[in-house]
Amino acid sequence: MSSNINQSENTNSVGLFHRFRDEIKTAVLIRRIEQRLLELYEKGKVNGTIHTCVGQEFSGVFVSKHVSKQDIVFSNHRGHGHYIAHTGDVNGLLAEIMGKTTGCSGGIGGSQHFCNTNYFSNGIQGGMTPVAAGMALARKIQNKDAIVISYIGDGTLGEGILYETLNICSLWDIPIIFILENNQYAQSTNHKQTFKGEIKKRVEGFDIKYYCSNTWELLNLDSTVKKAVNFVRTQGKPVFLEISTYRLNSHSKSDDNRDQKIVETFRKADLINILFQECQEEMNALLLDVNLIIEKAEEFAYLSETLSNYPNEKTYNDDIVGFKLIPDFETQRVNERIYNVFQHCMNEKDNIILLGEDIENNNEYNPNPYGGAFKVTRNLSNIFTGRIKNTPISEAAITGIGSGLAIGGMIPVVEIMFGDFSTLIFDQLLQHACKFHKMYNGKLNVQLIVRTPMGGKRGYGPTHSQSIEKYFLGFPDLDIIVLNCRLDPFTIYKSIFDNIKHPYLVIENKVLYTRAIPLPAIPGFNILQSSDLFPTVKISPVDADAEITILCYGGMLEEVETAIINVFESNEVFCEVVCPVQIQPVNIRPIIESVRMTGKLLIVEEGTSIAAFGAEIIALLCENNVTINKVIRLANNTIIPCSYEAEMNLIPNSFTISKAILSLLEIF
Amino acid sequence: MKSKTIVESIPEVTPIYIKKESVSDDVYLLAEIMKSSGSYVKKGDAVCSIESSKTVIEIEAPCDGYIYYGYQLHKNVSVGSVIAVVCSEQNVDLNTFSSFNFSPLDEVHGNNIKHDISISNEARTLIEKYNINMTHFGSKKLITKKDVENVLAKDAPVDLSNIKIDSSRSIVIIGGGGHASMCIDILKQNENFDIVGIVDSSLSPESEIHGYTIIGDDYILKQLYDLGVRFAILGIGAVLDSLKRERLFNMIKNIGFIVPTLIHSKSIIEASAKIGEGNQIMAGAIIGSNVTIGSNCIINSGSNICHGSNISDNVHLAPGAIVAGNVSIGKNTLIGMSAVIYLGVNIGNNVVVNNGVIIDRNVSNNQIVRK
Repeated sequence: MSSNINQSENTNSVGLFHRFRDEIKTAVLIRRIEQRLLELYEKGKVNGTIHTCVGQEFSGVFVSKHVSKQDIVFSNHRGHGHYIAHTGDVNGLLAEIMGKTTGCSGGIGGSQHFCNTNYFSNGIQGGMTPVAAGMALARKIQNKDAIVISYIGDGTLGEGILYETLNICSLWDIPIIFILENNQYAQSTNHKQTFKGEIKKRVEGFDIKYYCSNTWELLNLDSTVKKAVNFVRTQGKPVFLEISTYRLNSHSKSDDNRDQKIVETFRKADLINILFQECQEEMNALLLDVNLIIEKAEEFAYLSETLSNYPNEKTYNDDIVGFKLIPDFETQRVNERIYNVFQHCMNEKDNIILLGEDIENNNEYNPNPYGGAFKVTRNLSNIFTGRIKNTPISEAAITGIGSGLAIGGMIPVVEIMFGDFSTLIFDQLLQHACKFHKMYNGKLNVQLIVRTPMGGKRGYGPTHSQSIEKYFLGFPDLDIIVLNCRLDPFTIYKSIFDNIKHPYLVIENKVLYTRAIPLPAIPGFNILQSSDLFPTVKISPVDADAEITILCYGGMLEEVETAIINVFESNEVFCEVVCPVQIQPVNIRPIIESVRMTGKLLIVEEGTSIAAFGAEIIALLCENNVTINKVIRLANNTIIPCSYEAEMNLIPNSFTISKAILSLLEIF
Repeated sequence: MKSKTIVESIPEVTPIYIKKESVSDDVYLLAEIMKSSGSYVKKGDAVCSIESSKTVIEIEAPCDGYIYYGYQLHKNVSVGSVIAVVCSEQNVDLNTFSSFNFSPLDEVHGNNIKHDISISNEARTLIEKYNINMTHFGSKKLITKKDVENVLAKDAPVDLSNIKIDSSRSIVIIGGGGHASMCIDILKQNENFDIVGIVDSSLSPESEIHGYTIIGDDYILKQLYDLGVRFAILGIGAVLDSLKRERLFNMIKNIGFIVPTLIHSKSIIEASAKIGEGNQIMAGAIIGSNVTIGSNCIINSGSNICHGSNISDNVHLAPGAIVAGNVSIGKNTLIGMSAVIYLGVNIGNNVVVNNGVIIDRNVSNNQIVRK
């Protein structure tokens, strides 16, 4: 890393000014905007905080000079300069930061979350890098001559997802250019405290072409950016360009604990400052233009409507639905059924692409067939060449790449081999995939499907047997679908593919994969489905009123079914089962109707019950004035042991469910 | 010289169980059948393969013989079940292997299959006790104790109050088929009983058969007993379902009925023979000295049991069967017409000896012996 300011090429400021007049003007515009924003901040006109890029302006300016209109930019928290350089939209930027509806993200995103045609920024460090890679991959698949620019800082070098992404970009020849603006500080922490080794070596370790330049030598910066961009465009391979620079202001506001003597050295060496001294006249003329632009933009922002109301949302649906018999479907194993629907839909839509670990069938490295740990993808990779991709064990990156593919117009299906590993994609879903639509004021939709098996009863032990879908409840715009033993996975996936606008998390079940469904009918009970797109299954006694409602979903349905027959035979208890397929947003109506009738509710969950789906349902029932005389939650509230017997006894099963039903009805 | 063909040798049958091959699965898919059903296999041959969620496992023949599958291709097979058997002989009736559970998993998939009902345990106990025909429950799908009590309290199709009942003489006949007519004729030979009517679910109430009225279904039996009828006769032969006679016998005994043994006046029974309850000894039957007979047996026309033989409960000797001396016959066994059992032979429970077969060696339980 170079912290030395090399200005050997800049002997003639006047010459430099005339050679790069336009670039310098943009840089001055950026600097003035940043300075103006600090003034506005002090006046309380700016909500939250801002991260200014004073001192770093030339990186964005020269990158934007060499990229084309169709190229796509992903930026970070310190992105004002990038935004102005790439879009020129001063009005949109000022309005956005001032919380106006005319802002580039409608006043929703603010300083760190800009959106424009081919421009997206996000305040999460490395998290945007796989999204950028996904977008670049989409353009490559679509044979479009576009590359992606992903801005990161030296602070980002501490995040693992960056390296997951670099690896995949190199592996798959993704046309992306990573611009590392190295200003030596992660907020207030010096690079020396956070980084060991050499950036170049790290990058070259991934077999990625490395370039470097700085913001003090414009000729070098100009030619290096040009070379780097050219390399990506002509070679179709990723590039990493490190630009040394220095941030002259604090990280955001009043949080600068650096040695001010050193900062002062950089301030003196700053090209814009030098130019203002050495080319006063020319620079002042530029400044007049720039100030005018900013004044107009401020006026535009002031006159714009402030975003004063942002609609809150209901966390559930309350739709009156009819119930009907479940249409017949071919009896097949669940994994076969999912395979069939993927095959069907991939034939129908050529923008569906599957990413995951071990999902390819035989290939040049493995002569024997595999096709997924649970045999869902089987030979799809042979049928749809290049559309089913084996990935490294990089759950977070492949989910981010999925988001990028989605906003690039594909429908990616990301398989997370075990639901337990979905903890690794939490950030990608919450801060990226599920947030983009709203954060960017509805300008884009993320058509991403993440599917993963949850559930135990396979002896896989504490880290491969959990049901942790509850942690994803409440993510914005996320639909959570849970398959069960009654409804056809073909129909459910087909509905997703046909209606997808937002991310879907589809929870499959490990035990269910090898079960042929639908299971046999339940003697004495009607098995019905609601009329919603993703129906609720209702199992009711044919000729009696139910005395108790049992709410469950996913793999628990089969256990509950056995239990309701058991308690009928042993104690003549009539149960009604309500089993939603969509647990977010859930349609509360069928549950309300059943509990209004019975007044007694047993909730059976395979995961832990604290702050989970069942708890949420109880809260919703209370809010909807439903009287619950008695309620029991049945769940596993510890870790899952490997011992088969212990596991089977811990996870709710037909025996413990039967006992809970009887105890709820006070039959002993 | 003994003929080799007279007793069918009992085939050796080796089951192939599905073992738990991985922690992952309890149910496998019968993925491929390499040796088709009925073909001859040698020990170690790969006969079929099963598929788990992660891998395909080949199944080898445990011994030489003919293979028969209990499952169809692409069906699910659970851990612990018998996927196939290797049999020392060809063309064996698979249903006769009762030492292990070998029957295809009768999986009926579908969410909407009709006419399925559930019966609570208490209701089932009552239904079995009173042998209630399920048609009484109409379209009801979940049968409770209360439902059964309602049926039991239901009015009989024939007004029972018109029947003259004398607890010391009144008898009811269960079943209205051919065997019932034989029983009725024996009852008519003496004047100890008055027949109040016949119960039979397959015949319409109030119709007449063998000169008597069908007064209803089995559920009426409890009401008849409560009205004072104390005697009942099983008028069904049920040659091919000996368990049915056993079940019905237990049912009427449970209600409290006395089931008299019927003895045709033209049968010959030595004084030293010991005969239990509810037996039916038809015309021409000969029961020798020191023979013991359990209960609920049919010793049919012209059959002959020689000295010292021991006949267990619910045995049916078809017309003309000859049982030599000191033979032992297990319960629920059927000895076919004109079959001959040699001296001292032991025959097990639930055995079917086909018509005309001559048996000169012991037969173990649960066998069918053919010519």
